[in-house]
Amino acid sequence: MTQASPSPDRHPHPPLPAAVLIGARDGDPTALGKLFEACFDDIFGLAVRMLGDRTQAEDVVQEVFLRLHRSAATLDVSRDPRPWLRTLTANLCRDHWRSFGAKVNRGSVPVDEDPAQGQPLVHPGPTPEAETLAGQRADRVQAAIDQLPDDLREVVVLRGYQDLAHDEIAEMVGASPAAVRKRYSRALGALGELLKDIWP
Amino acid sequence: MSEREFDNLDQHQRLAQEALQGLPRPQADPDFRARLKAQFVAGEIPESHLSEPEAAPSRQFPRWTAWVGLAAAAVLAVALVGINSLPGPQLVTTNGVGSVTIDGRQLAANQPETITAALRPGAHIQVGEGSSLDVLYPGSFVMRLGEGTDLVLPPRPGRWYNRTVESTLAMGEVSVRTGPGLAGGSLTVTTAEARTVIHGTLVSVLRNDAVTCVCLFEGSAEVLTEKAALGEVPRGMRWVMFRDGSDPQLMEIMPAHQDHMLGLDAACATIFDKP
Repeated sequence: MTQASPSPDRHPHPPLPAAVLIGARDGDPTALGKLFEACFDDIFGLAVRMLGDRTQAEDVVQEVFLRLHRSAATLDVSRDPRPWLRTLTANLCRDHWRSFGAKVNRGSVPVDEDPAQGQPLVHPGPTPEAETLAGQRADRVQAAIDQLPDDLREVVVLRGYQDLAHDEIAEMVGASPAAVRKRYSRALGALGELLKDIWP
Repeated sequence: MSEREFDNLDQHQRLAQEALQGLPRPQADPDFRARLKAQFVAGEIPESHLSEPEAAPSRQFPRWTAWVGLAAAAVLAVALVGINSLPGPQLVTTNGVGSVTIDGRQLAANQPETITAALRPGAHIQVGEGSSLDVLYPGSFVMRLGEGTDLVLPPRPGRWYNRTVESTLAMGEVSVRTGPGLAGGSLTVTTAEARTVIHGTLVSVLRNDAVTCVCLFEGSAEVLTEKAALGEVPRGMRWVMFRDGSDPQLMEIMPAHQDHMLGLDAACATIFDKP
């Protein structure tokens, strides 16, 4: 079953209690469950928007949590692990883009038309017409994101969708903040060009 | 998103940004989410094609073992260098009653003990009038230094590496009889006019005011000058390189020189097994 929250809150990140991190480090199942809940939506959303494909995003998310579990015993309980997980997610998505299979399949399965899911990504809005329009618009935006070159797509998702700061993105992608700003500006320009026919 | 950044965007960019911000957060398939959570909590997430192989736990050694290892490696390296080096020069015999100067110390030619004590690899030897010196590099070669010879001894040849050693002849004559220990290596005698690469042979290199002469009684020696490689010296012949720059000449060994070399050969018979 696939749904989308109608008004995305991109900062659902109340601080993780130290007790959760300590418990996760010590292998406590309850704490691990809370850690999972605190991280999953953020990671999944980022992976879907970067890859434009749910199946591939699930693979990436599974790998992220596998690595988180492997690292749990050495967790630094004084630091929030979510920035590290976002970086890990972005890296895995970048690896996927570079893989041969991704180049072959790029654009073949739009995220919101995944036949395996059987229904659109966007949850219906208040009226059937409005929900249809909102869904179509989200599909177009995602399709436009998918058409961007890798370096622009990465920045546009991290900045425009995920709303991360330039400095944080710069650290994640290994570029200077100034370079990230320029890249984001170029990405928005390219995206605007691709989407110009949907503006009212 | 800062106001300043927002203000810098053109209309298309601004609309694109709004479109991005309006994208809904994708919700995962509940089954996938529940399954992954259960696997995460249980530590049973299967590896996928994206997975890196889990690093094997590294064996922890106490810090002192690294120092012990380093010390052992250093001792081994020193031992290898020591084992590789064949013995250095030893005095076989001296003749005459003149003097021999070794590294600036003038010594009586008839006092072999003091000469033996002064000999070392790379020593600078000047043989006075009326004297001669036979120096042995055990197993490798014997060098007979005639009167008036000014020469720098070669370093110790190596057993497995550094098998090529070099000696510099400024003046006089050095005759060389090689031994079985030099097989695969070489001794090069260098003068201002030529380099004589000696592999396995009975050879004499002479330098005086006019020429450098390389006489080959038997075996193999190669002569190179600054201008050309003259190649192997034919048996019983000598290359003569003139100090005035005239073309080198190939000549027969003079009978007196043959006798001189045969004398060295006979002296060496008791040192090396003749082939």
